[in-house]
Amino acid sequence: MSPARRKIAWRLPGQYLLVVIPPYIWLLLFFVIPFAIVFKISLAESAIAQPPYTAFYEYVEDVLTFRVSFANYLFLLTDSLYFDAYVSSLRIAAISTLICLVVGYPIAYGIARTQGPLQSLLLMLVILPSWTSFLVRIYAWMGLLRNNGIINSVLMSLGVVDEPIRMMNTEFAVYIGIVYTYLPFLILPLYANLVKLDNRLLEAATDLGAGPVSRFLRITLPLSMGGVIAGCMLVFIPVVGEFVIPELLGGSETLMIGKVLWGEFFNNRDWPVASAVATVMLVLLLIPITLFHRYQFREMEAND
Amino acid sequence: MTETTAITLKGPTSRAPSEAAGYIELVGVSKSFDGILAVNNVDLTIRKGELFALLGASGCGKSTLLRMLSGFEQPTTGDILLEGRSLTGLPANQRPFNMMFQSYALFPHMTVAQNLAFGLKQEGKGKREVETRVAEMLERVQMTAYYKRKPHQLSGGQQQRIALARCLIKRPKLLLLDEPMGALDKKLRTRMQLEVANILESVGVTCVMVTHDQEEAMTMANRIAIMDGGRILQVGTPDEIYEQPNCRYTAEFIGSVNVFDGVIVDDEVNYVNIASPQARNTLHIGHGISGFAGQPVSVAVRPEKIQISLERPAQPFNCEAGEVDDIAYLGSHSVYHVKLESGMDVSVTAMNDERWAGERLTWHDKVWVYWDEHSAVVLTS
Repeated sequence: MSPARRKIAWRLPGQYLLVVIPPYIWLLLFFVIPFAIVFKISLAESAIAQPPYTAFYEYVEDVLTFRVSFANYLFLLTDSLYFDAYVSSLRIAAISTLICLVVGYPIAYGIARTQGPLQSLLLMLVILPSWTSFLVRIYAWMGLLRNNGIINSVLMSLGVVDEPIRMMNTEFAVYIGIVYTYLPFLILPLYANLVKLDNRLLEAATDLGAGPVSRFLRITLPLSMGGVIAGCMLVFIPVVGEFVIPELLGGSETLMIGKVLWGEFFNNRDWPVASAVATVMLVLLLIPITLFHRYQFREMEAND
Repeated sequence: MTETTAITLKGPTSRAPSEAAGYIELVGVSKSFDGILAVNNVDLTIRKGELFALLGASGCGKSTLLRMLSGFEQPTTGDILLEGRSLTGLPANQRPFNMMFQSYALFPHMTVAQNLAFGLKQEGKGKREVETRVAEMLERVQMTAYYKRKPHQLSGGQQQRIALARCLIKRPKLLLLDEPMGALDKKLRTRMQLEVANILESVGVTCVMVTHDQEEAMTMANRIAIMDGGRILQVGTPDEIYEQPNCRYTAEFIGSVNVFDGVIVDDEVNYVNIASPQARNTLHIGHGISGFAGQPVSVAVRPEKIQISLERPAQPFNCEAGEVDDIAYLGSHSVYHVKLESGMDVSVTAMNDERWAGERLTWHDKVWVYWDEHSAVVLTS
């Protein structure tokens, strides 16, 4: 404990500590320690052993030796596969987030402006799909998008197309899967933000001569920016590391870092490289997370 | 419609710089929500340059009337005219009227200057004009130093000035104020009433305000309309409303008043005598009224018009014996609650104009209360 910490703890009453400590213990047990282990492995070298990497330190004849190697990180630079996978992941995540925003904003706005019991019903409809298994829903999409799937069957029986449109194992299918899965994560924070919007501000804008478009662009949109950013982060961050959707719907064509990570761990059994891939991904994601927190902090300050 | 003596359109000349009457006219305006009348057949004329107050208890329809003027609500029946032209169907964003909201509704994500510029940008004014007019307006409300601040960094009084400035910068043909002092604490309220009234006067804008606070209406407005149950009961200058209320509701709503119920006994050209079970002696009014013998009426006397004394006054009328029941000492004056022999409670205000008052009245003193023949008002409704 640092002196500052100790001072705070000293001043805080016991019950308060009881509330504050558990989240920190949680973070320590399930984030800090696992990440430290992953980071440690990323500094080791691959070995045919159990576990399959060299030890972090050795204690032989009263001498403590640390074995630290940055070779894995350098290796990531030498093979363009990793760079391409990172770029491709970020691109797919960015585009899906944008699609989610374009689709989700009107839905969130519509729900926020709805009055009474209909509002709860609409919210329920947004959440309802996540009550079934995620995997089952992705398999359902496979059934829809396959060459002999429902969509192609209908299109062909109607005579719209002569041969099936190839949708499975394309990036298109990946986008469908991601947008479908992550849309509620964008709608809910955005809804929570939009529902707080003070209607009197819109009336004031009207009174000052603003029409519907101007009201939206100059009042509603800027005031909902907190919700937009929160929603986008909740979509963007997990999508960058997404593995299941590109694996099942994208096939070999889609290159994403989650799949590379899987390959390193389970196919190559190269834990150190896989750990390095994971560490770099986390560092990459720290940038948007930090920006988000800075924005949120500013927002909170403004609302005080 | 029941007949009410209420609506006096031709009020006496006001202090306002009124040019031709009828700048804004409301003709038979009604508004119903789900079949319930919120505003009931209101006729009203607002003169150019005056500060007009709609005064009434909550739910009397004053806010609905204001929202119809602003264009947020459309009248169910009737018409609103600006300089003779109908405004019906014209939406709020196209009316040359601006409203200061009770909550101010300042845009929280914009600076003071951006808030002021908003309305001008909507008009498509050029950058240079917007800048000069914003600077001018900030100067006028003495907020130039704060142009970069966000609304949450301002005090309540400063927010109010910015809200006012945001309306005035549009040079509206009519400024609407919705409970302008409602969000301020009592001390600041008194200061801002004068400050806002001064700004409005210097701009010369026509203004309609809504308030439930009679003191606010009387301090700020040139003319006041008393509203109840969706109707306008009386329109007049503050002193007309106070000294010549035309109905019991107005008399009791503005200030405090003692009301005797009775019937007319003598109805002559130059005086009226009224008998009331609440008074032992005759109630005498020193001028004729349009009534008839036997007509039930009310006689209203303001507490400060009543004298209180230990000795019986010489006059045979308008005097009653009683006992001091309670005294509210308010520093500059005291309010005596006197229980008359009839059992009625009468409140009397007396100035505490002497510092050491050994002879001041005290509890359970037997006293006489009396007033002269011109102090009371006869109310027929």
